[in-house]
Amino acid sequence: MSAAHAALAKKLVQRALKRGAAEAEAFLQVGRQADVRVRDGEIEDLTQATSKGVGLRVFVKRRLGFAWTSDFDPSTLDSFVDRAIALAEASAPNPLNGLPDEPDFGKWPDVGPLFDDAVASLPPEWKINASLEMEKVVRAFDPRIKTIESVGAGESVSEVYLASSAGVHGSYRGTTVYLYAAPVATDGSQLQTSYWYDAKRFLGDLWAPEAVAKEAARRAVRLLGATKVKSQKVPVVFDPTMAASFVGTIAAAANGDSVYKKSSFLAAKKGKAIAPATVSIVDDGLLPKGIGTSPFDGEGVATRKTAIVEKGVLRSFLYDAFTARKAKTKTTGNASRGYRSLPAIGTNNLYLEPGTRSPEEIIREVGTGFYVTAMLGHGANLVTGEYSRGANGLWIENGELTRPVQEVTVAGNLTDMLQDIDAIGRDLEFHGSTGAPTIRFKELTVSGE
Amino acid sequence: MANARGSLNVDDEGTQAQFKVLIERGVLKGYMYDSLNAKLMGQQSTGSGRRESFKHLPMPRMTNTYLAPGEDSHEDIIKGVGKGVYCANFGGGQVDITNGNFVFEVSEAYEIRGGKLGRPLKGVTLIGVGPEALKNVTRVGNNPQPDPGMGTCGKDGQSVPVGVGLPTVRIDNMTVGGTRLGGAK
Repeated sequence: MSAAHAALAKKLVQRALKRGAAEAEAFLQVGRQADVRVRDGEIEDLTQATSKGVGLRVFVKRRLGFAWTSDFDPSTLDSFVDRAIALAEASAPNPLNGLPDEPDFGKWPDVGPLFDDAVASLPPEWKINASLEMEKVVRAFDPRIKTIESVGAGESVSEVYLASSAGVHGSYRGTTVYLYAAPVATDGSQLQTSYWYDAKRFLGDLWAPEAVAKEAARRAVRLLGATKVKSQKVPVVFDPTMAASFVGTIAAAANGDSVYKKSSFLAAKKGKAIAPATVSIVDDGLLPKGIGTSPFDGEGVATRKTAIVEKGVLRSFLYDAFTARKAKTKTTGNASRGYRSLPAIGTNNLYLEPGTRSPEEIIREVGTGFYVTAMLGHGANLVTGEYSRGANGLWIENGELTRPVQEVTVAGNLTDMLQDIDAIGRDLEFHGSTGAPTIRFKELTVSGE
Repeated sequence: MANARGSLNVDDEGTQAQFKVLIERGVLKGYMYDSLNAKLMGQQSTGSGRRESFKHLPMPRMTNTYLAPGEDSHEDIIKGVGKGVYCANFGGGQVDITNGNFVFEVSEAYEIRGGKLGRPLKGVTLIGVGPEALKNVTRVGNNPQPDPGMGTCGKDGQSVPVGVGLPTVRIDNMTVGGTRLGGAK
């Protein structure tokens, strides 16, 4: 961490106060990213990028001004502060504008290590070799894998410094390292794509390149020969990646701003049982080594663990300070941002708590059904709860995974789907900041032919 | 195309923008190239190298893409459908460009029964494979319609303004997704 950056954030806040701001906050971010992609045994693309910048939020008579710059030259920074103030003076006042209220900042938790020296000093050769190995493993997995959409590896390092006139200042740094592979399988008449990736904060936690490549290849090859099925209502099982995407949809409906605007199907259901007691959906900003873990959010509020759904009951929506004030509640420490944008509500580490069952068991109980491993389209209307997405996967007959299926949609209503979750696996996986185990819905509409 | 949203004098690599035929009378004729991919394929750039802004690298992108008009009137096309769906407006969509699988959410749809437009339908999703759907185009209208000028195409995190347009077309045997079985198909 750099003392100069921490001092700069504080200095900008001081200067803004001196120039007439009632409140001010500086959010400074320094980062670098590197990515390698290979093709046919050679490097296709190797990029490295660095970025730094600071966003300044000022309040003048409850008027909000915001400016950002990536130029840290002292002469630029002077006029930069003036610009933020001028913008505030030109904007309309809102009595709800302002930094988080003093008691709501909370005590910043000790979130443990987020920074891995091994990732920060990862040599390009490591990424090149890992990518080449993945390409080799993917091709060797099955002769029907003829080409690869992309295969690569990369890392990012990020430092955040925050200072505000509420007396809050601090910093944290973190690393992320990732691998990805997207092979294309063909049997002559059909192309099937799939992808697999893993992202972790620590190199030691990252899947081996070979494992990522094999999973990617397995997921593509098993879809070869996929056909439509007859339209029918059947039990549907989502694998962990698809279940994670479903959980993301539910969290989006729990966004405090959508709820305030009554544009979420969950808006009127707080305190009500919206799912079976086995269902708990959590946003955990404290998850050890989590990709979305940090000690404070984008406006300096302590992060925490928030149960959105607890044992089936809708417990909490997600808020930043401004939206919480509108909704006459308290921020949940979910202000997410970069230096170029104002805080907005986002999730930290989002997951569905695991159950006790194995995925095999969950599938075995299905007479005829659909195991979904990939989806296409956005397909969820958070206002009405209508859900309809294109789906690929494997058909289940007598508890066994059988033939591959594509070109069908799975559809339901999110309200019913939540109530219809009738099995939850113990296989919770994180490959980024959202995770879920295998889940089964009692019944969804599968439309095919 | 004069005054169209996706039109360019030169693309974002300095190559002159062109009129390109992609499919002619049902036969795939050409691709869109930026200069890098043209060289990789031993071809000439088609003036399709576009970028979102100075911060982005160019890649091959569409400009104004349209389906040329045919001979049937819009009314005749609707009249000829016994049981189907008339899609008046699309919401979001996603295409897997490797295998052509696509999904489109239809934000405005009506039932067609006995050649007549009927009640509006909600939650309609179309799903299919691009090359197959193209082969199932059985009527093409004589009413070319450019979009109202709000088209934006996103690819690998870059958005560029584009134009798209097509006349009324009839596609046979599309799979229509929704929650109720045995409806329009």
